[in-house]
Amino acid sequence: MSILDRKIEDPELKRATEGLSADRIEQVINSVLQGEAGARLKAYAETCMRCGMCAPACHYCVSHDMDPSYSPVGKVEQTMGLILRKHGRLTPDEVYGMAQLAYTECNLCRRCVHYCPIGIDTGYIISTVRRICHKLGVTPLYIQDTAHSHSATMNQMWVKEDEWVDSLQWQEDEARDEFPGLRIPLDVEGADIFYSVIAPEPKFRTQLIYQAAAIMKHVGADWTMPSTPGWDNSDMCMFTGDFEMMGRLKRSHFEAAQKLKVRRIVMGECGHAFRSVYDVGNRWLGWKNHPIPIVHSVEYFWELFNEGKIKLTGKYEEPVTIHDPCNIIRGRGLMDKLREVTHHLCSEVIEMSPTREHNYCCAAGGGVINCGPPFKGVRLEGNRIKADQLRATGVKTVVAPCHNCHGGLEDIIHHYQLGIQTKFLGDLIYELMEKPELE
Amino acid sequence: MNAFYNFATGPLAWAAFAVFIGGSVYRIWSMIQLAKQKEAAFISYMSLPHALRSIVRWLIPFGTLGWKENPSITLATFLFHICLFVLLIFTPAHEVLWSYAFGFTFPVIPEVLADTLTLVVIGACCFFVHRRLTNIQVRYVTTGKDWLALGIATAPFITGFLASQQFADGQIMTLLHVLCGEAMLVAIPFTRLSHALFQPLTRAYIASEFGAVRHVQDW
Amino acid sequence: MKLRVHGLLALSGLLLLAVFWLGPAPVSAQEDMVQLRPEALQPATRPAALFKHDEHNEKAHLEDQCIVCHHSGADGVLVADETSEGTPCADCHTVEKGKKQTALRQAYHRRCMNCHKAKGRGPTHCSGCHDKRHP
Repeated sequence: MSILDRKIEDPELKRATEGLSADRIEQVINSVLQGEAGARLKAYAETCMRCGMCAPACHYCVSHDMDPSYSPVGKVEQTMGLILRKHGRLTPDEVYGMAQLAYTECNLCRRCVHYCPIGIDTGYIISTVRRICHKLGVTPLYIQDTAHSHSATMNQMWVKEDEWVDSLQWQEDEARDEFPGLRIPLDVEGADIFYSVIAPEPKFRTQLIYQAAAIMKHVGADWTMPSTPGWDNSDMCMFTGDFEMMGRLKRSHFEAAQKLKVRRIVMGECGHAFRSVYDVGNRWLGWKNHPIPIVHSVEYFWELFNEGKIKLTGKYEEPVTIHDPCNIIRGRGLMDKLREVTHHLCSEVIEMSPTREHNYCCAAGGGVINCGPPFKGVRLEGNRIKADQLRATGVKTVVAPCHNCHGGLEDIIHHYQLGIQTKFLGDLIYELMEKPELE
Repeated sequence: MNAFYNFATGPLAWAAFAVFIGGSVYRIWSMIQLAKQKEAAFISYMSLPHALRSIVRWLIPFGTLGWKENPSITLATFLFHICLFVLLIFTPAHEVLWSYAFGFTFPVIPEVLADTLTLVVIGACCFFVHRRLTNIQVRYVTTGKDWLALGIATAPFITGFLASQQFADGQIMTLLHVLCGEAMLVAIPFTRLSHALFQPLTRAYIASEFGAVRHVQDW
Repeated sequence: MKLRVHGLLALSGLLLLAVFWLGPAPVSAQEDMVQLRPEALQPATRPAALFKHDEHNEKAHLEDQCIVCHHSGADGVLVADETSEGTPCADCHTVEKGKKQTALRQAYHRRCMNCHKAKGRGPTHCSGCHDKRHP
């Protein structure tokens, strides 16, 4: 079994690979390998002992009855291994397979790092493969559309500037019925908090902005959102391999906050955006860390609970389980804070097994869900283990503080008929917090 | 035969050690140079405490998720490496050579223990071979380089054991053992066995990224 | 099927090794056998080195050059023309290395092996002298 035995038709992958020549492929591959890759790739390629210990790390591999072509090392072998073996002289068909594998069969979740005695970062290798694919112009249609949106609008969802402000004002309007005097303060200079979200929030999860505004009102936060581009902290370009564009996006995000002279950025419940801001995009821009402090919502909520600022009317009575998003758990170590916040909110938490930083991925992150409908089946079949894991807890509610995880889990829950609902922490806080009594 | 044996244990041994040490220093040096030139930013995240923490953790059998979930290869890997280092240093015959050549002595293990540990290593190598052939995960990604590395790593132990048992007239096996050992030394910087040189670096890097930047364990 | 074949191979490999291990049965020492078995180095880890004094010296043309092995001296300096037949090596070369004295075991190894190497004759590998067939 190899990726070429399970090719899925994607119009953009098809169009782009049809126009490739062997020389062009070789030249692009080698320009990336020589120009951008360095000691890490060299050491990883040389010292991987092919022990196969990483196979049980990957949800794709486990979910496909340990099919070796889905193991982390098996996937590296079919992409970067192939490149190195053939010195970059791949056929267009092989490039198609390499792109399909890199974009849809690896979530860059880095669970395999916990399995590798050498310490090989498979996520980095697959990212480098994606970088090559991007430079060859071979990216799946749907995710490339989001990347185009990023370059045209500086947000992921083709949200126009006036639509953005309209959406905020609409949510403010709605929320003022429930919370008299509530504001979504735009462009407030010197605010404590610059609240940034991903573009899917204004596009189709607008209630999340409503909820965030309600929570900010509840805790009396001094916060603001920008009315101009830079409000979207998401970053599909990081995942397509368009690092130049990733840099522009992160710069616009940081600069929007800097222009307003805020104390810090609080990010909505999104995982990949946090990765992009915390240790990928910032580095591309030359920041060792960040120009201003950045906190993920989980950490912000944790602070609010610790300071006693959130007053609850009660706890969520049904048992819940916690899904650990890779980008804020393996990416930021927020597993304890996530649990403390969840325990504040819920009377019973039943842990998945394995859990915390060893939890299985949602199979949606890393841009995989963004590759769209053609590849939905890849995610569903590739994460049977998550369905088993969820089913084994016996709960009917899963807390997942990440948009991609939400999308991925919802699809899995539906496909495997688990009858579980997914919740953001913000959903629970909004649901349970004391609200003004209205006549 | 005597002359060739003397050549193998004399000039050839010096050459092997020179290639091993020189090659290792060169490989590590050039890898660090490459990192400085191409990935200097990533070096800045290196954190010694986190690197050491992770290295120690991964040296504990069954101390990490990867070791726990792969018990048989974990057992074989630890037995192989521990016995390798013990035998390399504490085999009585090896100590005699140090003492003969340089005049210093140190405690050794009994010969019967050395023989037993050698059999353990050979057993581990048989397991590696068996696993490489039968485990679909491993077979899928096995290349000639992996067989070469395994062969080079196994040969000194088989020949060493046979030499210790005076197989044939003893000399031929001792000679082969010496040659295989030298081959392994020479191969370390230039084959998959270079993981001996680079593993501490790759481990240290990922441990720093996970520990110091992302505040999470890498095991 | 494959699995069974490889298992069988591995097993037979181990058996073969076990046979070799137990293989060479000790043979009783011959009447004229002479071995170097200094008391100071007992208990020995290896069989005592085979050394048939007269036969060796005849082969090596050392009949009248006793001093090559039976040398003498003090403080790390050899005295020319002074021999030491009859004095056990261990009298001067202590087991532990002295300040200016080669340790006993090392003295034996160097004396024999260095000469064998220099002349290009005589064994220099372990079992060439410490022969398990003659314990």
